[in-house]
Amino acid sequence: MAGAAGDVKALFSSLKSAYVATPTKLKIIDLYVFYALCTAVIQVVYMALVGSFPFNAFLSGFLSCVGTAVLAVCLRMQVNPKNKEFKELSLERAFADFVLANLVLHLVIMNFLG
Amino acid sequence: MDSCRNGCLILALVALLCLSVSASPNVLSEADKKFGTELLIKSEGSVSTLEEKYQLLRSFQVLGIRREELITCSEVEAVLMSSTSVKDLFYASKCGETLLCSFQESALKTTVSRLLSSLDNTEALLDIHFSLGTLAFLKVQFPVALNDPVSIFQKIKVLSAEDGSWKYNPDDAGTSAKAAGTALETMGDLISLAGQAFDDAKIRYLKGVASKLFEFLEKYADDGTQFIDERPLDGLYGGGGPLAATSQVVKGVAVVASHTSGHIEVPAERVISVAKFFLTAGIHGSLLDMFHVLDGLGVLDKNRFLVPVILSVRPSVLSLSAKEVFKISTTTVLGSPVSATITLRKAVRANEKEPFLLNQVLESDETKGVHNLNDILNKLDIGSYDLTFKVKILEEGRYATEPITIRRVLVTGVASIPEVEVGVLDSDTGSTDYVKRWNPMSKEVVSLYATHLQKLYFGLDILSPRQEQFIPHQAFLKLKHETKVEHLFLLKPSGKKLELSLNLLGLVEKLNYLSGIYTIDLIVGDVAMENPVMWNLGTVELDLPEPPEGKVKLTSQAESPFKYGPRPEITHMFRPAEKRAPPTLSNTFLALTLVPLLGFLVGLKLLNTNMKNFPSSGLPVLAALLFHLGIGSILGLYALFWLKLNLFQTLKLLALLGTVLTVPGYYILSHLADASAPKVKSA
Repeated sequence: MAGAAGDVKALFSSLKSAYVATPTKLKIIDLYVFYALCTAVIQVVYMALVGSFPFNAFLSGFLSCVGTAVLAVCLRMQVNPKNKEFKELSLERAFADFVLANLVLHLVIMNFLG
Repeated sequence: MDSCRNGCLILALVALLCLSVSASPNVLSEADKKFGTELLIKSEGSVSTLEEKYQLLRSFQVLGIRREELITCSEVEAVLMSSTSVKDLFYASKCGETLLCSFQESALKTTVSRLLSSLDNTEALLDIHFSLGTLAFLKVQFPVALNDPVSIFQKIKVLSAEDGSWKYNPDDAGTSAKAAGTALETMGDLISLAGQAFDDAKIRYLKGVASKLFEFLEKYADDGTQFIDERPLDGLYGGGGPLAATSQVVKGVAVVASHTSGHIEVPAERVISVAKFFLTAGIHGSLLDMFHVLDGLGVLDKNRFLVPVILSVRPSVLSLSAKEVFKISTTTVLGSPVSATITLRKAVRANEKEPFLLNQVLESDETKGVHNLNDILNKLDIGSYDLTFKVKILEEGRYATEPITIRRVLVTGVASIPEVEVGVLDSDTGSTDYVKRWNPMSKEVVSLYATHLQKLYFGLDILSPRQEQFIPHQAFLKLKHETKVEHLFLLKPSGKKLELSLNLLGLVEKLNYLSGIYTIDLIVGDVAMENPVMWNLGTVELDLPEPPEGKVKLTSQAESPFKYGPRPEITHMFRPAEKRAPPTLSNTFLALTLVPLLGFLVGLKLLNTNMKNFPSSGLPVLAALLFHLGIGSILGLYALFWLKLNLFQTLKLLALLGTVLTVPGYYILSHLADASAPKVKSA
């Protein structure tokens, strides 16, 4: 048991030390993803307490958070210097894509909000 | 009293219907005149103009009443002296004529000279009519000399059309018979003012126009009434409808007749049909309608061309039980007696062909113009009769009458029902199981019992006052169940009896399989019967079979409202509002959603993020600001889209803002990319 706990502890500490090395830009994106997901969770909790009426409003709010989180993850993939796949792509181009996708997403969200 | 209610109601309706169908125009009776006077007195409060005052005065005059409260001679004189409107002068002079006022020449000298000069300056028919009418009235008081009567005559004549109709103004598009009536009245006034100036040819022309005017009459219906219809042109000059047009034409002809000697050829039957038109219109409605009817009748009553004489039979509904007698009178339209000999050509019962009385000369009371029809009384029974009269007026020439007049009269009386036969018969054999003769004197009720295999039988005789068989218009039998469900059955004449045979087997469905006690009522009525009956004969207990499977037995509540009652009310409800969370909880969660944002900001602080990459000078600052402002404005637009805008407005604005956003966005991002390019390479 103690060994397993130690393993977990060791795993966390290695994860933490590895994460400290992550560039600040990526940390900001992670923080943003975490923020969006937290907001989504709060809405789910609210729906569980009160009920799903009006359902379109709930879906809009929830999908807005989840959608923007997914887009942020995509942005993170593109700006991660270790990800060789998007090497040719500049940071600014990825950010522009992120902004455009968010604007389109939220136009749809607002339309669906009613 | 109560038992008679339904029957009496039906009878009253039928009586009303029959009377209105057979109504023939009667001359104005004293009661009609009294009623008319009351109506006129009521309308006194609402008159204000001189024209309306004259209409009231003239109506009163025709009814034989002199009323000076409306306007006095001194008021008339004041108008005549001061007014500049020819119309006001005309109606003032008409009022003066009706009130028999007299004036001094000196006071009205200027009015006369003004009227004379206005005659020279106008070509409109109504203006000439008003001026000449006023002058003709003043001429009775003191001499009035026209400057050039023949030119005035030509002025009026110029307005005439080929067919005898007239225009009001030279530039009018159409013509009308009413205008011709006005023109004739004006010409009549002209002759009264300057008769010596007109030769025989002109007088003949006028008489020709007058007799031609009656060709404009139109048939109203098959009742023999005829009238002059209004043309669109008349609507522009006062209107008033067919009553006004017909009255004006009659007046025009009468005025010409009164100012010329000799005879005007007018067909007698047309004058009679016009008189019938006014009498049918009667005295009711607005003051204007009453005035035209009374004015027309007044002219017809006293004129120099032809006075229509109307035969009236009073009463038109004669009661045998009240021992009334028929009074037949020949009078003018307003009721002045005219001597005539009357023969009853034939008297026929309605719906029969054979007359029961032929060629009876009526006894007459010459002074009152009343004729008695006594011979017929002992031959009359209850019912309707058509009486055909032949009228011969003693004083020929002045009067016009229908040579043959048919009048329908109704004779009422008390009918008697000696007994009512009530029985229960066997359906198959027809043999009598039970019979009772119900006596209306004792009114002793019967109690019957019958099953669906039996028949109910009812039979009765009705005798008229002359002890003859009488078949009334209505005879019903009413069965009323305890639950107030009613069924009506018609008693039909069979031979000389009224009979009803109810085969209960065939009626079970109509009676809704409803067994139990029914009360039996007999209802008999006729328009000529003075004693309609509704008798309770007794009760019958019906033993009917149970309804077959699947048939629902209707109760009274189920049936009666379905038939005649109001339909059940349909109510509409909105969907109840969904349950919403309490505001405190919602607000708490709203605040809670801000917590992650706070956490995000705190996290940014902890990560030591900064704005160092934000350009510090020059064009890039502007582009960066515009870029962020653009994103913010698009998000603001989305908020507006949620709150008030529709999709199309939003998309239009979005296209604009998107373009604005792209330019600085592209500039700032490429600027940053250029700045950071070496870094990327080094990484």
